[in-house]
Amino acid sequence: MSASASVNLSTRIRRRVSGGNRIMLLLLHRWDARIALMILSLLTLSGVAPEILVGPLQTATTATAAALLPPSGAHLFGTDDLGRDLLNLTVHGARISLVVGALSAAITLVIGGGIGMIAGYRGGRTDALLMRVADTFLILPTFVLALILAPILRELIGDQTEIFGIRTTLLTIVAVIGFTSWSSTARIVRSQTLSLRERTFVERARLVGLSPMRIIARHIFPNIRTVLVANGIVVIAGSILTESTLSFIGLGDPFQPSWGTILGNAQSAAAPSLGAWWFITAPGCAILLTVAACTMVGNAIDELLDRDVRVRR
Amino acid sequence: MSAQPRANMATSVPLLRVRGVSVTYAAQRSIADLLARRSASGIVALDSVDLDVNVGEIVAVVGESGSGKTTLARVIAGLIDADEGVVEVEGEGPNDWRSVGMVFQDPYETLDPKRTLGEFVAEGLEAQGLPMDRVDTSLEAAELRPASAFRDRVPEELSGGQRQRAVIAGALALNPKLVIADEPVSMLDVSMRAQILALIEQLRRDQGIAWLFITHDLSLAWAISDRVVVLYLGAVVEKGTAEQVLRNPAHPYTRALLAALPSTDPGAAGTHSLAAGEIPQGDTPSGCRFRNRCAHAIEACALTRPPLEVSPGGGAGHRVACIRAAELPPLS
Amino acid sequence: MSSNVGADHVRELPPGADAASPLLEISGLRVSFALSDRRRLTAVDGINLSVAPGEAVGLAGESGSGKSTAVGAIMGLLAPNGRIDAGSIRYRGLDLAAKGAPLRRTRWREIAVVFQGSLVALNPVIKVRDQVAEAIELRLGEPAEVAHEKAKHLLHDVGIPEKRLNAYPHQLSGGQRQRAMLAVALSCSPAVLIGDEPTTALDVIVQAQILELLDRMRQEYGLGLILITHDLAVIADMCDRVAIMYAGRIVESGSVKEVFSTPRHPYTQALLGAAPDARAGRRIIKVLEGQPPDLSALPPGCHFAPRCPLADARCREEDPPTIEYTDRVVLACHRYSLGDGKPPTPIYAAYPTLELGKR
Repeated sequence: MSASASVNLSTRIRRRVSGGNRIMLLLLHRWDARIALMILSLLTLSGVAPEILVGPLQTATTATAAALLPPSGAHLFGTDDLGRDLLNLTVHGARISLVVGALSAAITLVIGGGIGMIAGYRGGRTDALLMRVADTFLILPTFVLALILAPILRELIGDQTEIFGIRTTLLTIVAVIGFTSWSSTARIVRSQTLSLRERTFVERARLVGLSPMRIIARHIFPNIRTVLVANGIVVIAGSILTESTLSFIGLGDPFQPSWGTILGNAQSAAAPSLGAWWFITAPGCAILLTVAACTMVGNAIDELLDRDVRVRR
Repeated sequence: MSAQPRANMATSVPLLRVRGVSVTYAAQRSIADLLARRSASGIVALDSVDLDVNVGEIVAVVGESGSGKTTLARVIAGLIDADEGVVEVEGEGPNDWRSVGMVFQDPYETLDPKRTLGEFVAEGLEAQGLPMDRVDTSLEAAELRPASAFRDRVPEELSGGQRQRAVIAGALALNPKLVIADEPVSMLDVSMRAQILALIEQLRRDQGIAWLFITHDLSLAWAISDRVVVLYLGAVVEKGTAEQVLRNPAHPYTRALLAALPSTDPGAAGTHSLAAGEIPQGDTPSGCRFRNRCAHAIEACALTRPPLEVSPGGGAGHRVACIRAAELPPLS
Repeated sequence: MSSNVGADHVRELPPGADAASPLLEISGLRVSFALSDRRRLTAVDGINLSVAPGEAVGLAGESGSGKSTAVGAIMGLLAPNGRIDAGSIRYRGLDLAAKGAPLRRTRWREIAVVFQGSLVALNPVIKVRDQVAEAIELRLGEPAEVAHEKAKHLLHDVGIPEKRLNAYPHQLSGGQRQRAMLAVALSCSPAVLIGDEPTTALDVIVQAQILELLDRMRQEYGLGLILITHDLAVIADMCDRVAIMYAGRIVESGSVKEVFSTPRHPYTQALLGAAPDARAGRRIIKVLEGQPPDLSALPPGCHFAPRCPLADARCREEDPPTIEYTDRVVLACHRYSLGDGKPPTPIYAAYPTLELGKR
């Protein structure tokens, strides 16, 4: 292959592996990110296809084992107070966490990212106005708001309806988390946009007459993508925690138990005083590992981005 | 893009006409300022600047940091609005014309690292609704030949000189009559600068493109330009032909610049600083801006800002803003 | 009263150093970096450089020439993936490149560096006077009050006005920051001062002032000065001797007068001719074609051969020998042979030229 042709080939490969993908590859080199990604892959698999792993969800009626059995060969995580296999429940519970996490993050990123970019790019009064709105949302405590809104929305919408196979109670939670978390994302995106706006290539785009929307889409957004991903992952972690807490106190969906619901059941079954530690450990560890994994990946991306920015010159 | 006939260079209507342009950046007031009731004065970046560039001419704007040269570039390019004054290109006000291109100082920053050269050049065409076949012609006009070899490259793969040529290609795509070059070679290695300078001259010769060449490098300004304008703290202190201003300067600041310039020429005298202190940050001195650093300042210098007058040397078109210009000792 | 803390400071040499040996002598220094794909990149490929007390030596080169890496090697500031492969850096006979040398004491006390000015070169949250005082306290072990007093005098000596003594770095102008950095560097009365592009970011008039200051300091305290820059004119102004670097090697060195009036190496000729000169009235410049080489994939032979108008087959196959003539003129070019040992007649490479501003 001639010299120039080989340059072109490696160029094409390098172009494909650009930006975010490069960060992904770099991530895989870090041991902490690798472990975290493995955990998250397991979570995703559990959420998407739990039947493959543990078979169909055990309900009170299909439970076959005795109640509150400690972990053993037959039941790796033990059983709960209704005789359901806890491994089964835990794996199925992943679905809720996954759905809630992903949807909340999506709403947060879309709203937060959009508002952040517009505020950062336009500046002036638009910026001031949008940021005052964001500040208002920032001071609302997510959890308390969810607590208040969830039962109200449940009354309004009823909990028998399903949208896209997800119960409305869940959607309520998703909506609440999404609407209260967007403001910190907006702030982060805004500050990134502010610094990007001053970069020469953005100035040049303005100079040749590109419209603001096109500039945002073409020059600003691709450069904040990775920040959004890192932020989104952290939002996922937070939303899983919030959802778990809400379910714990009974505002979740009784028919599709999430980890928080299991913990709540453990509480009502007085598991701690009965010495049934496995009842708490299984869902608790699941929550812990998932949130830790998300945070680890988010941190790793942050660090890589930092280095990227510093080394760019 | 045909070459402008030589005769046009002598027309009385300049291609670029800048009159009385002033720009003040509003200062942010701290709580301390508010409490002390200081008035919200801003930083004067440009103070009533007049400038002409004729068709096919290269005019150098010489200034150091704080001189306002970058602000001037952005005002002329239409990126920011002047608070006062007029900027006309071919007789039309801003936003009615797009025949001004711009080359920025840092080729590593001007090109979006994620996009190819072709996309970079096409961006301007797209925004203005021009045909896309100009991408290749622009790349080749900037000596990136053959265009097919460069169109799909990303900036990362190119040298500084090549990147800067890509930036020039981007400016050329819009068929400008005037290109503003803000320190176009200062970030390139010395041995790479010649490529860009040759390109600038060739574009002037073959396509009649005029250049507003902003630089702090006096030797470069002298060598490449027809006329020179010297800026200090936002005001024009001297202007004239390159030979007049940079070989026979009349203003104390220009003289100080020249005296401070080191040279590899074995016959050149060593450098010495004729100006005390540094460019002041913050409040601009009253009257003549340079008086706090000037070895020849007298009381009258603090009273009013000196107007641009014909230089004592009498060269045609040579203007200097100094009330003592005629009394200064001749340069050694 | 002399305020420089070192003027009366009798230099106590570090163990192993010998006052009779040359001040600073670098021989055969080779520095390489490990790349991510397991290759090594040789940034400095066997350079020799020496400085005597009171002498100013310029190290000239463009980006990628290896000049900043050389400084890093001397000061022990190489990046983690860099290492000194060969050669010695002898300060008064003590080899700083050898393993286990008492480096911490020597570097920064005997040899100090002033870097290209920027806000991050000085600690932004500590006042300038405190930074100088801190350096004195730590390195000379003086008590705090004495250190502060000396710091004040030193800052005054380098030209920082009284009211700026207690300022933070961001409150100072670029020139003042450089002066402050110089004060920090001089605080322990080093014997050698290295300036790594110390005036590159400064305006022309301020540059002249800082260079004047450096020169005065050099004369007053008998410092050995190494000035690293890409600007040959600055070297012409300040230095007695000059070494020209290209792609990690020194291609020519000698007295400034000799090298700049009769450049012998084709690269030196190109570099000298590459910029116009208003004071000399020169507007014809030499055009050096091609790009600086990729140090990780160097072809065999002379590093400059791909861009050299004088290159022939031998240049592309064999490394040129480094020949030292009388008057300390050093050349690395196949076109020149030892001859009778005197500096040879220059051979001028025919570079394309460009006449700027041709109407």
